[in-house]
Amino acid sequence: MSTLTTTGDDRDVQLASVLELVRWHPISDPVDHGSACCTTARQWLSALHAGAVPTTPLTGLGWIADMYPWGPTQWPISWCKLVEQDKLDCGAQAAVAREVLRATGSALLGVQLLIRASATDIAHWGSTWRDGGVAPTWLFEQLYYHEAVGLVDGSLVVFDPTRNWKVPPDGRMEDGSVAAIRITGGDAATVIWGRHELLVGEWVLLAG
Amino acid sequence: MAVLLSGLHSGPNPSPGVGTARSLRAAYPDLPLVGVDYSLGSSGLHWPEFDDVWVAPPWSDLDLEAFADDIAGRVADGSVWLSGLDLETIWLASNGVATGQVLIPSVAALRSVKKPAAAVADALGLGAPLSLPLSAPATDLAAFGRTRGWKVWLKGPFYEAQRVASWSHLLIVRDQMKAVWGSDDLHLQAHVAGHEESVTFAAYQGVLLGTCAMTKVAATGEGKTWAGTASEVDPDLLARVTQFVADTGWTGGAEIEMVRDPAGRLWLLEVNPRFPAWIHGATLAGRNLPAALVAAGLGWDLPEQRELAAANQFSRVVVEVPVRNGFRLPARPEPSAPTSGAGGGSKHPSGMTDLARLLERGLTPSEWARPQGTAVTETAAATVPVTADDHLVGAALMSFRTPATTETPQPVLLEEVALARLGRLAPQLAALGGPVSVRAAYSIKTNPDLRLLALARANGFLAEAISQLEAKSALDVGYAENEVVLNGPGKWWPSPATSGPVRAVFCDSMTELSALTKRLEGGEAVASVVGVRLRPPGIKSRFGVPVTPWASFLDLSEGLRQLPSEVEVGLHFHAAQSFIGVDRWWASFEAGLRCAVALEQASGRPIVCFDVGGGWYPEEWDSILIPRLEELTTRVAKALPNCRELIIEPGKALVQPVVAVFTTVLDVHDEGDSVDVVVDAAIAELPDAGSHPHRVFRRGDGASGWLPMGPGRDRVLGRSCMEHDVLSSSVSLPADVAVGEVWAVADAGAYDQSMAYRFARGGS
Repeated sequence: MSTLTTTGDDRDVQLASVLELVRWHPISDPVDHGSACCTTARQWLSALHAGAVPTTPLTGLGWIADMYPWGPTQWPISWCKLVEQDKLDCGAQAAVAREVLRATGSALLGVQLLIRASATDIAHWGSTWRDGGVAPTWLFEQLYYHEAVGLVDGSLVVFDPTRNWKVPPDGRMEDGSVAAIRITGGDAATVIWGRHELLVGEWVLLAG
Repeated sequence: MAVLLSGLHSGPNPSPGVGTARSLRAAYPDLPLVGVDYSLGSSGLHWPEFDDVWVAPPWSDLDLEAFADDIAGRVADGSVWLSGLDLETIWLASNGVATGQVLIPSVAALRSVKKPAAAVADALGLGAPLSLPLSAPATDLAAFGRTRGWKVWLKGPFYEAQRVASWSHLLIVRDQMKAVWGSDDLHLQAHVAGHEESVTFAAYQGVLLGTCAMTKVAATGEGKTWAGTASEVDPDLLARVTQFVADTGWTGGAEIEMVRDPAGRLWLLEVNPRFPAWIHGATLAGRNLPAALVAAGLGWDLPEQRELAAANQFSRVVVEVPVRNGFRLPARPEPSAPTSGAGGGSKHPSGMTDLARLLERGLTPSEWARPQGTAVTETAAATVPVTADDHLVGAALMSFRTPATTETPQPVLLEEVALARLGRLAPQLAALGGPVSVRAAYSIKTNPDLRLLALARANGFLAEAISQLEAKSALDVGYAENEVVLNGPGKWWPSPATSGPVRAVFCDSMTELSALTKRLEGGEAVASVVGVRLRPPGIKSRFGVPVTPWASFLDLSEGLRQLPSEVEVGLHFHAAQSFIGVDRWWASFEAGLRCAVALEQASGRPIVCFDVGGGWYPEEWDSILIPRLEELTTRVAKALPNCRELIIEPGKALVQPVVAVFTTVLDVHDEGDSVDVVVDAAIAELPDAGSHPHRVFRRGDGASGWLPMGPGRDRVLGRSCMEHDVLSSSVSLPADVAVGEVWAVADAGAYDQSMAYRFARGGS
């Protein structure tokens, strides 16, 4: 069960209300039919990653957004349908990253983010999603929900497959700043991300 | 009293003069600043914060002794000189110009950072990318590039680094850089993938005055900083920089250029003995290092150095400024005029190419120009695969008739070398054991010599054919049909040569697979194993069946599923190691293998045969693949539990060293700084001459036998009238070379043989 804790000023009323909305939202996880269709799809994704010449766990993942540019995904989705898509949303891209990195034996974590963005950007993305026939439930007034993957290498490294970059612990993104983060999975109760100590399974607000 | 700042150009590849001036002006609004450069093409001359500018004559026109006196006179009133040009710094230091008033490092300090700077990398706790001087043997240079997939740089002694993509490209870039810089002191350096970072510092007489780290965020097309993030230097690196400054007694600015690889390790690219062009970005962040250096030089109190915030970012913008009164822009050269020298169209408006030539001619202490970094060279040399069977080739040449009676040009099969190379593989494969039988297949296209084909058969090789004519050759030397593997897009051309089933057929397209399925369904016994050549993900190729996107993968799995049940299924993977490098080859192999696993799952057809194609050079085959053959076999067995047979195709890896072409010297040209020799062989007999270096052997005196010529800049030219008929441009020819001598051009046993053609021989 996740609980709300803060490390900075909880001054954003909208953020608090959005956190209530996403409190029970799990990380995006495609369905596996338990048969050859999904097994094959996952093996195929693993082959594609091997061909990208990964030299460390978080390198060589750029192929995900190259092959499946960011766009609307209709959930729920199975692995065998996911691989058929032209575009994938951040949750599906992160799921692919977790899937192909799983083979490396790395301790992977799910990463959920609430990111502040301009109303203009959010309106534009909402339009794109609606045009794609998918409700933009991940968008809020000046916040959006985003997924990434986490790798503990001493401290937490947050990798964003959508942009093929690491999210800096100060939360500064090109199109906004991280307002809150939740880490899921793994055995540890806490992980260190920059100057933040994050309780696994709980939304943590970032100051600023 | 003033501060004189040289190196003012402010373009895509800028010098630091303008940024240094801006920083000094920020700290000392009334300090007179004089900009110095060597042509009107230096755009920073027009920067308004210079109180005055001094445009000296181009370096090629300068009377250097008079210029040194001129500088001494300019700083005699207590002024100081900050050099923003590496080569100017070297010249000033090595000639002792106005020592004390010129804030630059000593010759010894400069020598410590000469490229490749392995020792300073060690001192700073940084990795040193492997490098190899261009004076190394051509075979070593080529192997250095190939093993890294030609992700290598050719670097000059002072300036410039260019990526080279192949052996032939290396030779072109080498000649270009030699033409620009007038120096042979070049080296190959391994590329390090990662993000670029820098540390700049100011120091005075061995005391560190201040530092600033910078992560490059955006760069120009030439890789120069356009935007970045300034930050504190890592404490460990700071301690090492402090020690380095003390050890060298450093005076002046400097920039340590590095790359941080994905694992987080920092690698040294180079240390520049001057401030970087982005120095004002550090000042904006709170570290005014030029002000600190000038203050130290003038005996003033040092300016305060603020603690840097976590993220101080800066960006450049393009700004138009009026041309300074009295200074016109340089006249444009006529369209046909070269633009390599100083001037408006030049890439080096401060005349560094001219100064490089002056330095090369020995205007500085002679030890400065000598190659340095022996430790690096030895380390790099140790990573270069040993040239295949060097001693065997020389010995094998001895068994031929005396050169004087040898008809030339003539390819000769070096049977001892062939016996050794083909004969040693079979026991190596047999020793592997395990559930998967490993068989080698002889690639007929690589060298169709029936003697070699027969030798391959005698040593247990299968025969790999890409046409029915090649299949017939295999049958002619005694191969059974079930020992023949058919591959390639034209394997059925021109007409059937086999009647019974061959061992395996790997289709090159879905169309071919479909057609073959129909033949099999019609009862034709074509092959025991049928499959496709995979086009692995991440590899661009015209060959094979793509496995991406998903729809293509599904088409392929369906095609395999529809093969008649009495036929077994195999898959073929091929990626040329000589093109993509060793690491990428293994990644592609793994990707191909995982595709095979997915196809087995999707099609429901067991994969009983996995065929790994060639593309390895002899050196890498011997020293890298063979030692890892057990690992490869184990991996296949684990991934594909139904696999009974792993076929490997050494191709040129086995046969390239087994043929030499005897050739006679027709003419000798003295080209001044090198020698050209014309021989009676040509690209007709050695059509693969441009793709890899061929060792050239000459018979020595008496018992010394045939010895390969050493590395150098002399050329061996073919007899034809084609400009590109250059058989070698990397040898050192003997001083007594004479018309009529017979030489042997080795390493001609692969595509040089199968692709040789009739050219410049008159009627058909």
